[in-house]
Amino acid sequence: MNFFPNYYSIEDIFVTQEKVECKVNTKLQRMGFLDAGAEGDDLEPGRSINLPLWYIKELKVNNAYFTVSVPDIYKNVHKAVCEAETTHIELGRLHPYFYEFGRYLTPYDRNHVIGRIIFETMRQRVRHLLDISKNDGQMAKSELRLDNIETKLHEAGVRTNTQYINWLQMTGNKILISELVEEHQKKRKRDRSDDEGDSLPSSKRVTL
Amino acid sequence: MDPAIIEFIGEKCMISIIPNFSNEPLHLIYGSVGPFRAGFPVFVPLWMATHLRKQQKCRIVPPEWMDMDILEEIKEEEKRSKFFTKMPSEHYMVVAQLVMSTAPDDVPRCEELRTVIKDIFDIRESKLRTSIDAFIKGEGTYAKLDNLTLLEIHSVRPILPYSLDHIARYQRTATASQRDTSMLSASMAGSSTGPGSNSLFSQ
Repeated sequence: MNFFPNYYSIEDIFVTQEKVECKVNTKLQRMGFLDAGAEGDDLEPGRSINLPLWYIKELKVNNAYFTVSVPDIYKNVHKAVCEAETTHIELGRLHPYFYEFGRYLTPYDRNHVIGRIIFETMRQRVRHLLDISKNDGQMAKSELRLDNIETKLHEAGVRTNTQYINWLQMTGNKILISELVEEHQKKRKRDRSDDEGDSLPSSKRVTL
Repeated sequence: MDPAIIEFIGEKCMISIIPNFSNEPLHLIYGSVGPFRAGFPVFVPLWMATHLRKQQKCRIVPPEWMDMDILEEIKEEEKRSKFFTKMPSEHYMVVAQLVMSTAPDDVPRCEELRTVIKDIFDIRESKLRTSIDAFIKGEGTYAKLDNLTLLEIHSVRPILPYSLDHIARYQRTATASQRDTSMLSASMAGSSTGPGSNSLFSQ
């Protein structure tokens, strides 16, 4: 729920797997294999190649080899943020890790727009998140609209709401069977029915 | 925090009951309760009241504020005011919920009261949402929310603190990038102007 990326967090790994388009600035000897369309062994300046974020982010921002070009989603969105309601953007469709990906790319954006976009977008959308967590029936519809972080926040909100509703209806007082025990019971039942299924033909065989 | 925990905390409220039995005072960890004399009202904690009521050993005297006129007034006040008004009890929802579910017969016009209290809670909740929205979009660094009860705070937790965490992180990133690039452009201004520096100065 509360997301602070570290080296081992799976979300962070997912985000840093993303490919980023980079322009090659200097001739890189024997690096041609990085570019599928390259003719020679060397990587020529001026070509653009896709490199994973985890590689790029270890290089200096103003390194001599690559210039990172900012993905389009952060350019188009900027306009949308200024002109329209942010709550109507389908963030999940743009990028499943919209915020985190943007956060990593912030230093590479020379107009420093990205930082502001992700900050403003999140700020505008929190109210919307609070509202939609009040009714949990729309989850299927909103799946594409939310970014990964927002989905987690939404889940947290829905959970709070369900707890509250349960309390209000006094249904939370019952002690429920733990999930593990329930699974075990189901499994036992299944096994038993399987046994019966097995034993039936064998008994037939005997009678035959 | 669970609503159940909030209920547990709220159950420490004192409430008046009329027992139909007589007994010595009970000595509990946090103080003594009683003595009980049949027919005479006595103040006990809410948890004990509901427990005794379930065993048909007492009648609960609803608190003073559990009255149609008073609650209607509170509701109107809540609608009028921009801020949160002071509630008659810090755990009004818990008290109402427990008293009305265990002893609906002891409260006159129980169903109507239930609706009004729920209305008040809903008004306050939507007000809370609106002020959160104003706070996040505004420039303020802190918000002061007086007279908010535990259950109302619960309704925006943990989603609100988590969202604020994220917002703060992105704000830090945004300002940090702004600072870095301005430092970069300052250092580059002295040296030769590279091909990328145009966009830096345009900011």
